[in-house]
Amino acid sequence: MTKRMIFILFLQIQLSAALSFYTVGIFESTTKGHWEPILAGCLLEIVFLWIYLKGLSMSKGKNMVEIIKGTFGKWGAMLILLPFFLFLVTHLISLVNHQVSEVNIILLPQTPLWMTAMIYVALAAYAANKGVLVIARMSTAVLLLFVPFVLFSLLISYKNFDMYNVFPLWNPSFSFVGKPSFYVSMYAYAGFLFLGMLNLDKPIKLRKMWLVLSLVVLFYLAVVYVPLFVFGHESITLLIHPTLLASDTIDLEWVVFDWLPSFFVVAASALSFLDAAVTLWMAILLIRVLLFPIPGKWLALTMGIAVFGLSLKIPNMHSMNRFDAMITFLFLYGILVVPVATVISSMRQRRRQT
Amino acid sequence: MNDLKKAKWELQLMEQMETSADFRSSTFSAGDHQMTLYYLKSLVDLNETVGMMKSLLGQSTQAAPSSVDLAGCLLEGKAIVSLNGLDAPLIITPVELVLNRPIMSPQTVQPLQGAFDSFTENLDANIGLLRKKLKRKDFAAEAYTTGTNTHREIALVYLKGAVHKNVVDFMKQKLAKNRAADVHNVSDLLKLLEQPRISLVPSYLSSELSEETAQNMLAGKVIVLIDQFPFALAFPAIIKDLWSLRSDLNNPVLFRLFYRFIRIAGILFSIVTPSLYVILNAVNPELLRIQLALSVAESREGVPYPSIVEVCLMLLLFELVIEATIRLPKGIGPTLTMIGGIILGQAIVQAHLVSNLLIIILAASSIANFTITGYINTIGIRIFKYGALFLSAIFGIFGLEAALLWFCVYLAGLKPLSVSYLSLHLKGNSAYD
Repeated sequence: MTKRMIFILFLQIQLSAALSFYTVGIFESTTKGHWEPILAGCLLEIVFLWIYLKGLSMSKGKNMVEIIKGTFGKWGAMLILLPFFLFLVTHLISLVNHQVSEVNIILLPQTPLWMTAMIYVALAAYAANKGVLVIARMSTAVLLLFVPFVLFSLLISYKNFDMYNVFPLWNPSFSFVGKPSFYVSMYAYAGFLFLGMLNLDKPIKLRKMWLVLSLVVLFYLAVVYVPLFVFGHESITLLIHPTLLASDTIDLEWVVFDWLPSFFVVAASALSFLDAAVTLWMAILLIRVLLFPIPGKWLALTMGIAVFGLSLKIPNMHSMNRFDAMITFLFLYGILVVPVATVISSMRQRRRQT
Repeated sequence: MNDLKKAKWELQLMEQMETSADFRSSTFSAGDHQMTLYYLKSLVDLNETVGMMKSLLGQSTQAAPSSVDLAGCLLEGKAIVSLNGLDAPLIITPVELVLNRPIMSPQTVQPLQGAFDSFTENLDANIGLLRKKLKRKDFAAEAYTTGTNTHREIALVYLKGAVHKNVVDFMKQKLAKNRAADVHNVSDLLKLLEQPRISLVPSYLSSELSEETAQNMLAGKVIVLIDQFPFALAFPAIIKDLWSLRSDLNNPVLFRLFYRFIRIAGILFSIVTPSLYVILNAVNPELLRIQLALSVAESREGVPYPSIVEVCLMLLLFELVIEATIRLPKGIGPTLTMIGGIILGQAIVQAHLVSNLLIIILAASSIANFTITGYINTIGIRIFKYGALFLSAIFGIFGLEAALLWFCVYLAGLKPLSVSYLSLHLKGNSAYD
C-alpha cells in the first residue's frame, strides 16, 4: 500500500457518501446559496482532519485506538470510543439499507431485498476480513473500473442545464445552520476517520492532501449542482434520488443503453461497497484492540450477519430517514470528538515522555 | 576374466542393477593392470571413454564403497572403475552419449520481435542461454538438488541488482526447508514453494523463450529452471503480466501502449460479454434501447430454454473444441476446427438451439480471452467468467458488478511470494506493507 492508494481510497469513500442521500440533505437544509452548507461542511471536515492528523503524527506508528488507550486506559478508551463504535455499526446499517433499496428499486424490482442485501454484506465482510491493505489496493481497481461511470452520468446531463437555477447565489441568513437536515447530511464528512486506524510509520500531512481534498469539494459541489441545474430547487425537493434522475433526463443516440441511471447505481454501489468494507474493518479493529483479540474472520462473519439482520429490520424509506436523523449525534461525535480525543491523548503522552 | 575375484561392493552393485538391461561391465587391461568398468550403456559412450581413460582416471575420485551410493552415481551418468590391486571403487565422469536436442526455435509461441532461441531440456544449456543474454556480474545461478526418491536439479537464476530481495529470500528458505520433496512436475515445485493450492491466477509465468526470460530477470523476477523441463518459470507473476510482454519493449512506445490497451480491453470483454448477454436477455432487458431489445428478443425466437442454459451449453461446447484441438497433431487439427466451425457457425442457429447473437457474443468473448498474454494466464479468466455468469443470471447487472468487485478483492488479497498480485512492477517501494 502506498500513500497514493490511501488517498484514492479516501477520495472514493467521500464520493460514495456524496452519491448517497447527501444531496437530499443539502436541498432540505437550504433553498438558496447551496454552496454555503457544502463549503461549511467541507471546511469543518478539513479542520478536524487537520486536528486528527496532528494527533496521529505526534505518535508515529500507532493507530488512533492505541493512542487513546495509552492515555485513558482500556476502560477510558472504551467509554470514549463506544459512541464511535455505535456510529460505525449504525452507519453500516444505514449504508446497506440505502444501497440495497436503491439497487432493488432501479435494477432488481423482482428480487427479494434480503438476497441483494446478503450478497452486498457478504462481499463487504469478505473484503473487511482481508484488511485495509487489500481494500486500499483494490480501490485503485475500482477507481479505474467504476468511477468513469460516475463522471459519465454526472456530465451527460449538461444539455439540460439551466444555469439560472444557480440563483440566488447568496443566503445572508445562513439559515441552514438551524435545519436538522444539514446535520443529517454531515455523515458525508466522516469519511476521513479511517485514516487514524492505519498504523502509519510515516504520517500523512494535510498539505499533501490538497489535491484530494479539492477533488472532494469539487465532487460535493457537483453532486448537488448537477441536479440543481437540471431541475431547479422547487422540483428537486420532491425527488428522493435527484442526482440519479438527472442522468435520466437525456437521451444519448450513440449509447446502446437506454436506461442510463443504472450506470450510476452500479458505480455508486461499487463505491459504497468500499465504504462498507472499510467501516466494517474499523469496527472489527476496534473490537479486537479494545475487547478481545478474536480472529478477524469470525468477527467479520458475526458482524456481517448482525448488520444483515439489522438492516432488514428497517421496513421502509420513511423509517430509514428517521433512523438517519436519530444517528446524527453519533457521527457528529465521530467527527468532532474522536480527532480531539486523539490529539489530547497524543499531547499528554508526549508531555509524559518529556 | 570372470574368474577374477570380485570385491564385495561389485557384487552388491551387480545385484542392485539386476533389473537394468542397460547395465554393463567390461573388463580390459590398461598398461600393466586390469580394470573393470561399470556403467549404463544408455548414458555412456564406451569407445570414447576407453580412449580417454588415462586422463579420466586422473580426475577420478576414490570412494569408500560403503559411504557412496554407487547405483545412484551410475544413474547420474557416472561410471565406476574397479582396478585390481585397489579395493575401493573409483568414480569417473565418462564421455556421455548426447541425449539432448539442439537449441531450436520455440514450439509453443511465436515471437514477433525478439530472439528466436528457446530453452531445451538441458539445465546447463538453459543457464548458458540466459548468461549469454545478460552479461552481468551480479548474475546469480544457484543449484539445488531436490528429492529423496527422484533426484532433480533445480536452478534459481536471478540478478542480484534487480531482484526483489523478499522474493529471493522466501524462495531460498522454502527450497532449503523442503529439499527432500520429490519434484516430478511443476505442481510439485509449487507445493515445495508452499504456493496456494487453488488459485485463479498462477503465481508464476512460464516461458519457452530465453529472451523473454532474460527480460523478466531484468524486471526483477526470479527464474526457476528445472532439469529436463524446457520452460523457465518466472516468479512472482503480477497483474501486469496479464497484458504486458517484455518483447513489447521492442516496439515503439505508442504501438506498445496500443497493444496493451487492446489486451486490457480483451480481459474485460472476455469476462463481461457472456454475462451481459444473459443480463440483457433475461434480467435487465430495460437497459437496452427498445429497438435493440426487440431485435435481441427476436434472435432468440424459438430457442426453448432460458438464456443462462443456452450460454452454458455453448460455452461448454466451445471449451470442448479448445481442449480437443490443443494437442492434436497438425494433420487432424484442421478437421476438428472445420467441424467445430460448422456446428458453432450456422447449423446450431438454424436448428433453433441457440440464438444468432449468442454466436457473436461467444466469438467475441473467446477471441478476447486469447488476447491475454501467455496461455496459462487465460485459463483463470476463463474459469472466473462462469462465476460472473452465474451471479449475473441471478442478480443482473448488480451481480456482474459484485463478481467484478469480488475478483478485485481476491486479486488484491493474493500475496503468494511476499509481493502483492495487484502491483504494476516489482521494484516499487510499498511504504506501508
